[in-house]
Amino acid sequence: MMGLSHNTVVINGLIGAWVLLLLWLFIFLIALNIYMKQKKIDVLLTGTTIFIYVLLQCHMSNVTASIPFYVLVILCLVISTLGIYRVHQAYIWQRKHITNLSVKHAVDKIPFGVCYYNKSGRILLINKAMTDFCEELTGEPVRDGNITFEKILSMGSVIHLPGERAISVYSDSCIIDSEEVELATAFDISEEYKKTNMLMQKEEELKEINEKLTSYNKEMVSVIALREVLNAKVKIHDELGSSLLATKKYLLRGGTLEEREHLIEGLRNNVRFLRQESEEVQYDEYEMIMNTATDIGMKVDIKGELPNDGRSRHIVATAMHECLTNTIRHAGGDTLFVEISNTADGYRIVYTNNGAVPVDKISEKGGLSSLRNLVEQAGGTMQITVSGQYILTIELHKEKD
Amino acid sequence: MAVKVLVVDDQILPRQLFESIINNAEGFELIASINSATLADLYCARGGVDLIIMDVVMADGYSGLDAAFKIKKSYPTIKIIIVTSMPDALFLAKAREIGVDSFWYKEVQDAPMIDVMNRTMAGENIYPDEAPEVWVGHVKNTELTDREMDVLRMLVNGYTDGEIADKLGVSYHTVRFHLNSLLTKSGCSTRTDLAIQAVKSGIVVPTN
Repeated sequence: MMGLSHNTVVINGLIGAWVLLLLWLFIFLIALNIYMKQKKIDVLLTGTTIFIYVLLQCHMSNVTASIPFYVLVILCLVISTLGIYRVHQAYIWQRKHITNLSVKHAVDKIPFGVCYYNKSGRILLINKAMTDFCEELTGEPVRDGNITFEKILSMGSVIHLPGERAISVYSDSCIIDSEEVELATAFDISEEYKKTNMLMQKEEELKEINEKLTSYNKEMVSVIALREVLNAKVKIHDELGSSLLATKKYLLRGGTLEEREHLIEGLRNNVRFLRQESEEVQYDEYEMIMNTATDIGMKVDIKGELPNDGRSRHIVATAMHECLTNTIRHAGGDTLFVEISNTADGYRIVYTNNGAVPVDKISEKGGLSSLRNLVEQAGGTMQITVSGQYILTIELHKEKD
Repeated sequence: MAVKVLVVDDQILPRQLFESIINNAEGFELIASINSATLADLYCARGGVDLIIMDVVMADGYSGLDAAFKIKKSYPTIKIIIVTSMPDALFLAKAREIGVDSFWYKEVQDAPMIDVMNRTMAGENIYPDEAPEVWVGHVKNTELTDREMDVLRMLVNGYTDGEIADKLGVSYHTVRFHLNSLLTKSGCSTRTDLAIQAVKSGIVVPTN
């Protein structure tokens, strides 16, 4: 009995030590899990361990002698297995996750500045680059995110520093763990800034060159046109030379009447070209329209004084052109009436014709649509009405000198 | 019945040459000879025009091709022969696109003008196979790629590299690559020199 009792005390003692070990193991697990912010299962395990320990103590003091001893052993084994499983899980978790300190070390190595701060301005995370930027820009360390970044962002999104340095700063909100936090980033863009400045300078120089080039090219087109004329003249002179040689041959050797007429016609043509080559007369837009109208058997009846400032002149002439086309094509008339009157700050020009009144609704496309654009771009108005006759009214402002 | 011809050319001498060809040709009648493409459509509106001989580059800045487009749209039965001394290949392509009936280079003639007029009126489309070969520095226009021609065209019109990249939808570096290639091929030392050579040769006509 004594021996059995002694054995029981020894086994109970061993199990007690085992349970104590388990207890320490689970206290360690709780600490680990508080650190890992996951404590639910381990609190349960530790609670169960404590319960077994209490049971064991009760068993040793015969309070719960009715509980078979092997039940306690099985319980201890199960809890030990769960404990070992949790330690293994914690090990894996640690391998897969990084700590706040690791995060801080990592962000310190980022070459650009990063700072997270909450709505009240408390700094949650700031790296070394941002600390340095903030100190350089504000002259003081970062204490309150709101104050520091309000000050920095008021300097603009790109902050220029002495020594051709430039820092670009942005701030934006983001949600972390259901909390809205501000994220400020700062980049040293000195190199890009220098290169952009150089590029802009080059683009400016290029623009100047291109402007000169454009005006040169306009001249060049005239030169090419003159070259074309010169080539034509050369051709005429060559033909004149040939005609003269043929004439000489004819005069020396004689020929048929037909040959003589051909020679005379050739010479006449050549002389006509040479005589008329400088007779090109340049007309202005109004004259060109009027001459063309006369050429095609149309009349343009103008009442009032045609506007003379460049822009209005072009618009009025374009409208005359469009109305002449429509008078011929759609109205079947032969006279365009243009009535010009002065308004407070410009002109009112009314175009009508002696053709048929349009039956269908007038749709503005092609020429009329282009004309409207031209008028409206010049700040004027254009109106088309069909009441008894087709009337196009344009109002224009006088061009200021 | 004689074919009624309208001549549109801003230069008096070429115009007179065409007038002379028409007056001496059988079956053709000159109805007008004008120096601005802007007004050509008025003659068409009045009727009685069967054929137009139209220059491209006009002194008033209005392109003969634009006038041809407008006329073809409103009066598709009127035949148009584009005549030019500019070897810019874009003119040829644009003329085909517009539906111009025939195309004739004033200085490099595959066929006499009267022949082109007759065949055009008979329903043929007479087009040269390609623009005449001209030299830009050390390179012929036919040796330049389409992309190089696009870049050259924009360069001549005064666009910066960035603007050319935007307009062509390529990167800035691609434009630089084509420009360097053009400079290498032509032997021109600067972009300005290149642009001047291109305009001088007539392979690119400034549009701005």
